[in-house]
Order: sequence, then structure tokens, then C-alpha cells
Amino acid sequence: MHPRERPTTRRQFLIRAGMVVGTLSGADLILSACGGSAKSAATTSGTSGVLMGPGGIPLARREHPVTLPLYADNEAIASGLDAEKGPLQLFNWAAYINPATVKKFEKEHNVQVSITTFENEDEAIAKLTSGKASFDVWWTTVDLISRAVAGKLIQPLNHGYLANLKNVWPELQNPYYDQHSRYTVPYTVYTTGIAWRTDKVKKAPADYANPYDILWDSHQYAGKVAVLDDPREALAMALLRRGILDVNTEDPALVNRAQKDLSQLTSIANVKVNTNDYTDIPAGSTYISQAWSGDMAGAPEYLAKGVKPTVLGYWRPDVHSETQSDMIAILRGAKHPVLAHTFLNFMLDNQNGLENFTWNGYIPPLNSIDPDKLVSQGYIPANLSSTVVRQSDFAKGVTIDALTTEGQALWQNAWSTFKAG
Amino acid sequence: MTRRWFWPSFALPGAVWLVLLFLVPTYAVVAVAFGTVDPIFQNPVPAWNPLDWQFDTMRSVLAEFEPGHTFWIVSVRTLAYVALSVAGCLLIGYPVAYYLARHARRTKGILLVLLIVPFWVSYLMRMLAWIGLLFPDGLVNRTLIHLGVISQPVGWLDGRPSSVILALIYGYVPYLILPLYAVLDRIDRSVLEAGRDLGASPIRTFFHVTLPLSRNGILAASVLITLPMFGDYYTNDVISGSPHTSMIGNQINLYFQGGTQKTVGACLVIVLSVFLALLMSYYLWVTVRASAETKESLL
Repeated sequence: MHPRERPTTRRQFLIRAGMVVGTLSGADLILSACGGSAKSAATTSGTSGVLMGPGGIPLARREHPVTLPLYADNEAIASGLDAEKGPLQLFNWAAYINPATVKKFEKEHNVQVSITTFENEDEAIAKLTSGKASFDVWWTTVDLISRAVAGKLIQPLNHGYLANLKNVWPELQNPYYDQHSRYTVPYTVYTTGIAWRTDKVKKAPADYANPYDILWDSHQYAGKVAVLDDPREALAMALLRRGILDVNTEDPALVNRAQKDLSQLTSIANVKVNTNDYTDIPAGSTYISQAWSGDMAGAPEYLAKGVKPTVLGYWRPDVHSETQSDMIAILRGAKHPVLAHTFLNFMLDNQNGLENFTWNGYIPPLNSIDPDKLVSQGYIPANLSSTVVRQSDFAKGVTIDALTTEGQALWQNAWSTFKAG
Repeated sequence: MTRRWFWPSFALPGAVWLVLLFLVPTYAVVAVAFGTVDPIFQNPVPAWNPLDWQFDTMRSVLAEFEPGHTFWIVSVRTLAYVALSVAGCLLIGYPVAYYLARHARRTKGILLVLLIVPFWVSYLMRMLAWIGLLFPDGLVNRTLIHLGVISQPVGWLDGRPSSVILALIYGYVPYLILPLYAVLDRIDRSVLEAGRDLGASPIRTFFHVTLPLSRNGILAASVLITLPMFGDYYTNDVISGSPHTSMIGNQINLYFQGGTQKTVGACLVIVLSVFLALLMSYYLWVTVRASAETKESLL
């Protein structure tokens, strides 16, 4: 199950803008003067017109990669240390890692692993900043990374322990949101598209000149249509339908128009707002739904006995598809930082990554995973081959990134208006 | 001196309880509503000192309560759902409570236990159980099709207001029956017998004696279920999920769940609390007046 499949959204964004510090990429920023935290006075955009986040860290965009700053009081661990004896404390979304993969790590390294889960990112942040939680490894997202760095919640990585980083797609070895992978390693990649029941819906998305129109032409399926309960995802889809590729826009006119378009779905099809795509489409209680690729890859598991996976369909654009990645980081207060590095390296192993995928349905961005083989070897049904995320998909996709404080309020208020009906 | 404080000290645990679990959290919500958020992690930063309170958020929230605006729409809908649900609870609950108080004899004990059983299961679990029952191929549809009532499965979970209202009734009716039973059970039977002796039929006795005497019980039980219903968001989320059935509790949840505007969520809580306090004031006024009338009649 994907982390977004909670009754709450994951998209928690950067807030108060910070001072402009340094350039978008390149030189290391040693902000030793920041002391306990990097709460700095703020402007929304820097001198270069780039939107700024907390601690003066620019908001990462594909066209504006960001090198996250290093701080003198938050350094990476030294090289050549022996791993601690554990237990390793993982802080993860519920059901987002294969228990068998965790057991394998325990056995290989003769340590215990303990998993604590969180329901949403606010809860995670609240726990991590309370000073009472003591975890080693944390699963996070693009939205949160710069906040976590500015607040010195996570520690820089020592790549000397991460030999398997070479297994990762080149683009994500040096991702735009964390140049040089200073603080994170990628975990999974996924797309957002439209799922439908091929046995219930007459016209597939591909039958429309604009495939997104399937949702706006769904009056005959009223009550059986859903969008994801995630303001960024749902409003971004409305933007993409209009051909607006900047899904991180902070233009009120565009966001409000997306809201109005989305609100039309309420009158057209009494649209439902939830994150039950992976159960409701297989169960037939929803016929058309905005959906995540990983959910639909795992959806056949939820079909009733005797129902073939061919009743499931998943579409996403070949170019400009919403394509995201999730990542893992080591917390600054980790009591077992060397073991945590060992674990990150373990998850980047080709075989371990594949094993993890077979359980949670979300593909790790590893070079060794052949998308075609995932289908030919039966991991994914042929009719759901569009759920596979290729390296080229990521390169051609659009990404939901962090917004400024004002941008977040704009999107949240638009979402509130839509959800008021 | 010791005597003077002896009996009042019995109220101390309750007073401490009230302060710790009601007044302090209430003030915390107020402090969050008029405070700010942490610039890095977006955690609310309460403004404990009233001199530091900022009222901009409250002003913008109140503006959204103007007719046609977001919070007005969900408030009107919430009011309608709660009114219909309370009416439904009374229609179902009153006869049950009446039967228990007046006519159940040997079965009274077991029926009371059965009424308490739903309290053993959490409200959320009971709502989730409805999902299975109301699914297109769930027990409800299968039973209705089997009985010939419907020919096609009904989409109970397709965002219907009726499903949300029925779920609210189901969820809250036990909370109405028990206090109502307690009031009906306390009605002096000799008063009812007097009505019958004066020639009133059972129905006339009910409408002219039992119902007026249970008026305060109806009001108390209704208040008991009305207050949590106004803040309910989970019922709509589970049973419908459609913006068409969204309630004010869903908006509060939306703003508290995440983002930079938790102060908006706290302001909504305050507005809702003030509205409910007004409702409670009416209840208290009616109760006090009824008590005064009773005393006068005894004199």
C-alpha cells in the first residue's frame, strides 16, 4: 500500500520563505551560523526569481536543481566505522516495506529491526520534532526534504557506506531535489493516472481526444467516479487536462480554474474523494478513478475470486505524466547511524529492491529492474503494463514539488472549496 | 474550618478533571487559532498571551460563513443532516425507550444489556462495518434483491445524503435511548393512572401526560447526540466521501490534517463551539424554567 493511501494527504509543503543563500547548485553551503535551526527571515523569491523555502533553501524544481546545504553542527558520520548492534529503528508509512525484506536484513546482519509507522507527514514531523522519538531511518518525500534539512532533522549521508547507490538510475543518483544525494537515497518511483473497470466503462481514456475527459464525461457512472484525496494530485490533474504543465503553479487564476473544473465533477458524477483506488476499482464500487501506478499494479490482489485482471485498466500520458519518487533518509538523532547506512545500502541492492517491489507494488528506480521483464515474468499483468515506470518516464514526466507558504494556502483553500461541494 | 471545606472538597477531583481536560485544551485551541505556525515544520505555535493574538485568520474564516461561501454551504448542510438525524433517532429511539420503561418486564434486563452492547465497539469500527454491509454485493443489497424489493444493487456508498443520515442515526441512536429510558422510567405511574381514571384513552394519556413529562428527557437526549454529530467527519468520509455530503467537521479535519493553515482549523472549532454553546444555553434555559415551574406548582 502506498503512503498516500491514508485518510490524509502527504503533500505538506515548505512554508515561510527564507533568505537567499547561495546559488541553486554547486558549492557547498556551510551555514554554521544558523545554530540550533535555520529559521531565517524570508522572501518568497530569491534574486534569481526562484521560489525560496525555509532556511533560505530554494524550492527544488526540475529546471532548478538544488544542492541542499551542509551545516557545521550536522555532519555526516566518519568512514570506516563498524555497524552498531541495533536494534535498528525504522520510521515508515504503514505497509510500505516488505516484511520479508526486513527479516532478510535482520538475518544477514544479525540485528533486530523495529518498525514504527505514521499515518501522515504531519504526524511524522510532530513526532520527530517532539524530541522524544528516537528513530534511525525515515521515509520521506520531495516536499519535506528541504524542511527536514533546514530544521536539521536528517543527517548528511556518507557515500562510503552506500556502494549500491551505483545501482540507481543515473538521474536519481543525482536528483534535482537533492543534488549529489547528500541527504537521501531514492526508494520508489510511481506515476499518477486514471484507472477504470474495462468491463463497466464503455470508452477507455485512450478513446478520448483528451484522455482526462473520461472523468468529465462520466455522468452515466455517477457515484462510481473518484479522484484522489490529495489536493496536489487532484488539482494537478485538472491543470494537466487544460494542458498546463506547471503543476506547481502559484497563479491564483490557474489554481482557481482547476478548482472550478474539479468542482464540475461533483455535479457531473457526484465524484467521491478518497484514496481507495486499489480496493474500490477491483471491488467494482468505483468504475473510474484517479489512481497511483503502484496501487493499480497491486490491485489484482483485491479482485474477487474468478475475476480476471483484464477488468482493470490504467492510463497515464506517455509524456508529461505526473511522475514522483519517494526516498529514505537517516535522522540526525539516529543512535545507529552506521547500521542505518548499511540498511540504506541493503535496500539499494538489486535483488532486495525487486523483492520489496513484489510486495508493495511500487518500483524501485534500479537499473537492473527490466520493465519488460516485470510483465513477461508475471509480476505485472500485461494489461497493466502502463503501471511500470521507466527511466524515460521519469525524465519526461512532471513532478509535484514543494510550494511557498502562500502557494500552499492557495492550493489548500481551493481544495477546501472543492470539498465543500 | 475543616467542616467548611470538607464537603466542597468532594468536588475537587471533578474540578481538576474539568480544568485539565476541558478548560486547558479549550484555551489551547484558542491560542492556536490566534497564533502562528512554526516556519520550518509548520507545527502550530500557540499565542498563549492574549496580547499577542492575531485576528486576521478569524476574520477571513468568518467571511467564509457569508451565504454562498464555503463554510456557509457546509454549515447549512451540517445543520440539515443533524436535524434530520436527531429526528430519525427520536422516531426510532423513543418507542424503544418507552417500551423498555413501560412494557418490558422479564426482558428488560437483557434488552438493556443489548442496548449497551454497541458501546463496547468503537464508533469508527461500527461505521467501517457498514462498508461491508452496503457494498454493491454486500448483505443489504443481497437481502433486498432476495426479498424482491429491488432488482439491481443500490449504490448506498455512491455519495448519497440519505446514506450519511442513516449512518448518523445508526451511530448515535444508542446514545439517545438510554437517557430517554431513564427519564421515562422515572415518570410516576400514578400520574398516568390518574389520566386513565379521568377517562383518557391510552393514546390521549400518552400525548397529554407521558410526552409532556418526558419533554426534558427528549431535549437532554437530543443535546447529547447533537453535540458530537456537529463535529462528526468520519461518518461522511467512510459512508460517502462525496463533496456533496461534506460536513463542517470535514472542513475542520481538512485544515488540521496538514498544510500551513492549522489556525483556520482552530478558528472553525471556535466558531462551531460558540454555536453549540448557544444551543446548550437554550437547553439550560428550558431546563431551569421547567424546574422553576415544577417548584411553583408544588407550592
